[in-house]
Amino acid sequence: MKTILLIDDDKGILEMYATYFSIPPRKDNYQFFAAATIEEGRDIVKREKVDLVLLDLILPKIFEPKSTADIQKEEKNKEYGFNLLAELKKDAATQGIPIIILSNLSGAQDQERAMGLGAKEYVIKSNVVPSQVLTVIERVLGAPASSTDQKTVV
Amino acid sequence: MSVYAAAALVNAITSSILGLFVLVRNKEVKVNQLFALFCFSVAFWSGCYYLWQVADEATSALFWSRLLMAGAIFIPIFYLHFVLNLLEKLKDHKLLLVSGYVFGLIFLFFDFTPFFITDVVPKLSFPFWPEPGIAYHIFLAGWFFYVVYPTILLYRSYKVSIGIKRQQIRYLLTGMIIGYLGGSTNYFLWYDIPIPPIGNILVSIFVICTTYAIVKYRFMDIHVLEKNLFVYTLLTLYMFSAFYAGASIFTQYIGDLFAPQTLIAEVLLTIFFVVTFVKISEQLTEVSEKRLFGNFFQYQHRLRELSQELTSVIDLQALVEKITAGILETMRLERVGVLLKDSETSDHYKIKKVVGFHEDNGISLVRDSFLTKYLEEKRTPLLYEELEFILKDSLPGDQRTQIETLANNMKHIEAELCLPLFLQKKLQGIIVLGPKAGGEAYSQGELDLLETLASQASVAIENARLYETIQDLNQNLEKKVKDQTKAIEDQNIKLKGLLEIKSEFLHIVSHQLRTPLTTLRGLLEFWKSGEYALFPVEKQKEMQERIFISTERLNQLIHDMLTAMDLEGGAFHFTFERVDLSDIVHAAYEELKDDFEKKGLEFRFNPSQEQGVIMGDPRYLREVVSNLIDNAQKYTPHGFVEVRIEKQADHMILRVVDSGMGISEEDKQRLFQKFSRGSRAEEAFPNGSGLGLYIAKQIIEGHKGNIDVFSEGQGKGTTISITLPIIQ
Repeated sequence: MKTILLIDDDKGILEMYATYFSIPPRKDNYQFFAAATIEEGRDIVKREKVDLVLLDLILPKIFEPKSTADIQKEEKNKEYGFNLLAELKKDAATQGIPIIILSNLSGAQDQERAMGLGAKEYVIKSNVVPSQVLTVIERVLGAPASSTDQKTVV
Repeated sequence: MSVYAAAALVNAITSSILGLFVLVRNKEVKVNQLFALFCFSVAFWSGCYYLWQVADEATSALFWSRLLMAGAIFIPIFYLHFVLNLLEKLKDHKLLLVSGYVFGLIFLFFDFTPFFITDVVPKLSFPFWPEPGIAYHIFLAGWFFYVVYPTILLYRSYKVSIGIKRQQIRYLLTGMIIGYLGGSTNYFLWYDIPIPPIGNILVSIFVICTTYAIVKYRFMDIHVLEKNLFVYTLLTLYMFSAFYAGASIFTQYIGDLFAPQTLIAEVLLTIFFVVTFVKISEQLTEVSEKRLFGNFFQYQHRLRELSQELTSVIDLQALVEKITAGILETMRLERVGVLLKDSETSDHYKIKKVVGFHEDNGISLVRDSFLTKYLEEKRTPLLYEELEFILKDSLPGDQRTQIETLANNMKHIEAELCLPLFLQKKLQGIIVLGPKAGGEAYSQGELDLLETLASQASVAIENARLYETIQDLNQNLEKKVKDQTKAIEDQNIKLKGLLEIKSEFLHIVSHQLRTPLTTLRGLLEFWKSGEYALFPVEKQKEMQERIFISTERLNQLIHDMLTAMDLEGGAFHFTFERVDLSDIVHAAYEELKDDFEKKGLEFRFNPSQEQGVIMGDPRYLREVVSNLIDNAQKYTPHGFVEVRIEKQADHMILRVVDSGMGISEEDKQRLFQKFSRGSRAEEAFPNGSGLGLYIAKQIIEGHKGNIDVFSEGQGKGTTISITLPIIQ
């Protein structure tokens, strides 16, 4: 049983992935957590023993309805997403957790930046359906290099 | 030999030499020929006079006296002919001249008859003085007439002439008057008045005066170029006469020229001559330079050099300096000024350089345009003298005043000469010259030289001006190129900025587009894999609903994007017509009715009694209103959305008020910022694309209206108001 955390501000996405992991056989292999804000996500990482994080990059600090999704705010929120990634990779307690970026930001710069900060994979959200995301998850968790000392098999 | 015979001999020799000289110098010219003829008649008369004086018996004396009269008869006739020719008055006096020659021929005939001279009788010391016959009296009257008339002509001409011609006539006239007066002393004895012909020697005065006019003023265009020749001739004469005088004194008083005592005297005398020779030579040179030749030939040389140098100077100011300095130095003046037109086409003159004149004084000459017009018309240098003579004539009143003013001006600033600078018939400037050192008049030769200099200077000035223009053009061109390069660079930066904004915009928009697409694809996978069957029916319906919402959102995004693009590109055309805002609100609400009912939101709209009719584009206005109501609905979880229409003067105000979440100060400010990175405006209104309010604002502004947002803070509701002019 692996613990997966998805951090995304789009309720539709969160709901869809929650649904996807709520049926067998995924239900038996994974424990799925959803977080809509950075704060929420950080809490879960600290509270639960998370094996893998699916991270969107454009993330509000605290949850706001989409009304504020203007470009400036998105720029700011993007920084929050990157900050969280950096933070998790810096913290000794969390740096071993593999992080897959699941974002609709498709710019090459953003991808390079994320990989540079220590993301394991960069997946463009609209290009994949949940089953494909699962394949990536399995590959990351199955690969020996991705295992760290901290990771314990449940 | 009597004094009278000697005087006659001198007269004969000098007038012959003068006549020959004039003829030889330019025998092609009529004036010279006539003057020579006149001289020869004088010489003939004087020669016969001499022979008559030395005759020792009555028959030959009578012969020579008759022959001398033949010369005397023609002196005034040739004089008249010469004067008429010199003054170019031949045409008006043809008859007079013919009458003169007829007169001469008649009396030449009578001359050898007893009617003219009856006999020779002793009078005073003269043993053979002629007795007048009947014809003689008539002749004398005619003779005086033909002498006086041309003299009057000369005098009149002298009064109106200027410059060098005036000087020439002056000396000619003086010489003639003195000569004739002297010659006339012969007539007294004819009428038994006991006055001997003492003035006879004065006839030579005319030779001296004419020679002076020739040497100094190039009378009859005779240029005596050799100053040295002149000096050496005089020195030779001096030495010769000194030797001759010495020799004659010695022979007369001491006896033998070669006697020992004479030799001592001769040695002493020689030493005296040798010592005085140097002094006299210096004196002669000085006198000839000062009084006769002046610096004329030096001028000629220097001014020519200056003219050549001018062509090599290309800087206007330097050129003017050179002209000024050159004239000052060459002509030894104290005052020179150069006035030039501002530009070739301008009528405004500026002082380019003054030396000796006061600046204000210089410009006072051209304060009125009289001088410039005058110069443009006359096209010759203007002498102050000339104005004085003009003023002596009768002139129309206003012209007189103008010339008087000009003359006074020139006198006041002590300007002697205005030298016009012409370029292609147009006056370009004036060189103003002060008086010459010693107050001498400007000679014609100097004026000619100065004119040549002026024309060279004009060309050089024109060149310098052209050069200046080209320099200016160059500089302007350089500046223009710089400016345009800068403009292009600026444009480039702007375009780059725009491109960045566009790509940023596309980036964000593609992100926006991907979000609903993700959900859409993810959810559809449940159907594809058949897993949907695992969910309860409600869950399935919910998922289907979400798929539908996602497609709607995609559709809305595409619509907004395209509209925004149109607005950006300026391809936005409104078709104005009468629009009732109430109708628009109703139609918009009809579309959104379901959403309201689903959420249990109250929609309030009380169309006012006044009709909300304005001129506008219904399609776009509906988009705005619909957008505003939809936004209000979306961000109002519960409560109401109210639309109010109000007429205010010539404007209609539509307000969408909600009891929703409100809007923060920070967001409010960003709401209407311009659409660009860093200060991206407009967009920010919530419909997911962030473009709704941007589009709304563009449409309202296209209707010359305003859009504003009011909110007392978060959770306190929002009011968006649009103000539209009723008539565009």
